[in-house]
Amino acid sequence: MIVRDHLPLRRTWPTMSKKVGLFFVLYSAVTFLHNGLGVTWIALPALPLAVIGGALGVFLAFRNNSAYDRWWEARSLWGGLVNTARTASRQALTLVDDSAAANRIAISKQEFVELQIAYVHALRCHLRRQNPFPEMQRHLPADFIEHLREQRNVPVAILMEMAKFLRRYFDAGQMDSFRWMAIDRTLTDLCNLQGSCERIKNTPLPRQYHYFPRLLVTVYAMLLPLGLVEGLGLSTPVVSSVVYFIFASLDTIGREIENPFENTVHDTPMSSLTRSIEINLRQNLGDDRLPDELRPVDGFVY
Amino acid sequence: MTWPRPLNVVFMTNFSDACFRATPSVAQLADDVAIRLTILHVYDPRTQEKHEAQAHVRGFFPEADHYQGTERLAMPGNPVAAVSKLSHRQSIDLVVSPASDPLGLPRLGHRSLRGRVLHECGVPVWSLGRRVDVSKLSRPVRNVACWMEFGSAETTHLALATEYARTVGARLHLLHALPEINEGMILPYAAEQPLHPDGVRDAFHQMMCNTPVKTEIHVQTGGGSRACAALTKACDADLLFTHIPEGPFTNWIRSEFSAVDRCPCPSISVGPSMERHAWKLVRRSVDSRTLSLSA
Repeated sequence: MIVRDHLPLRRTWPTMSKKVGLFFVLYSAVTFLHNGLGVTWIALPALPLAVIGGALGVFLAFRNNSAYDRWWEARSLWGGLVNTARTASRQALTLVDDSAAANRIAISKQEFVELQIAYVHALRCHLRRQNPFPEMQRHLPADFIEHLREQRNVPVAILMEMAKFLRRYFDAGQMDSFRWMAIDRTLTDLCNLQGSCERIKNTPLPRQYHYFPRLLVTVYAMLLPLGLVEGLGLSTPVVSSVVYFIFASLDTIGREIENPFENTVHDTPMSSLTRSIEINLRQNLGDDRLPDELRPVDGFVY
Repeated sequence: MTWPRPLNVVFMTNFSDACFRATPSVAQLADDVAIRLTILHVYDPRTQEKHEAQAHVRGFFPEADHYQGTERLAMPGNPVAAVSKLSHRQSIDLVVSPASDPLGLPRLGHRSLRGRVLHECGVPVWSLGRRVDVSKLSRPVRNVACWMEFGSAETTHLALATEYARTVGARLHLLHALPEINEGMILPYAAEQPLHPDGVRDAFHQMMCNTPVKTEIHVQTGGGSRACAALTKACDADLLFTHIPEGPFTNWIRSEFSAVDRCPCPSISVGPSMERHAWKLVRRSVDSRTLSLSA
């Protein structure tokens, strides 16, 4: 996620440089043909281009709104995940008794909270399609990690283990069925949030929204100098390049934010959020060794 | 004799998009073999304060805090000098240095930082070109490729590739491009290079007959500098090992990494005279107690 106010040119220029450069050459060629060689029949009236430009702008705005909705929904889901993770930890530490019924061994509550921390890290890696296991070593026992390697959906496997812990607490007499239901409802909320994130990850915007904007912007960019060259003369290449840059930027913005779980600067800041969750849950456990909060790096939060 | 020990890896970062794109691959490396990771940021003290640089390096690749033995350093000055200084303090087995983000403008006379680290510091360099499919970076390494040249005495990269493939249980692919044969071709009289794919395969089979790794040989005729990328794609390699000699002009005209940057997978490049870099890797399933006994 970009948190800085000002984006330096060295970050935006490389994305657009090749395309703007190519079209500048095209616009220069058209201007040379019209003004230098007198090939005036290539000029088009400007009115149709103005109408096309207006329609294209509306189309791009509609597509960008859809992309933004996905980006914002992803952020909202992760905000919900933060709250639900804190709730699960609080419930485990307060609703589950420390001591077991007679002749039974009490189950540690700390392991449940470690599972919760491992769950959010695993979900982050699951959505970004990254390997979660090097990080799991600090939170989970080695034999459970080996079991997780065989699972296709690691966060769901961890949720299942958390549910099994609730069963063990109940069997050990550390909580009754009402408290079990309350904590299980929280696990269900976690599962629903995960499902919504996976929906965004696995269902891209309709491909028509991906293909046609780019095609239409390219066609418009190619026709643009033909409509402007008669009126603007030698300044046609510069003005046309600026207009193309605006439309191409609108197209690029939509593409960049439509997928919020791709480990890019436009992502939901999952690394920062999972770090915050870990800090909060460790403090709930009374752990003094807290990891550092993540600060933006060069104006970006991952 | 080299004892098994974790690989000492230095991840050089300037917090660019390329560095963030490389983090899944480093995580996968940490899962495949035991590593000790040092995240290094070299800053210019004229434009950045030390505490700011340290804060930035602490925020980069936060997942690495969970790996055993991870260290984060912010050093002032020149990147190559910083790596040299670090290599005097601790032995460095690998430097992670992805290709820099494109500037959108030609870089005339620019010397590749990766090339300088490779040749001046004498350390193998892990690199990631811009054509890599990032979705493949997180999958386990199943195919290790090694680019082979005849007439070169340098085989360190082959030894490292073999050790890596053996440790992770991957298949080793030896890649070679034959020159195109035509009437205008001039060969040295005593050339020992086979000119037919079967000759190449026989020579490589002979070379690899005693290694405990499954080996496949891929030979292509012609293709020039693009042959490496084509063969790497053909064998679906997850990691490419290559030897990059130091040339008098390639540094200034084009990067010596330009051929490997076209490859669809990360690469580990070895320079001349790096025989001392003999890896004895530890597979990740070894627990921390065993690691401390063997280190």
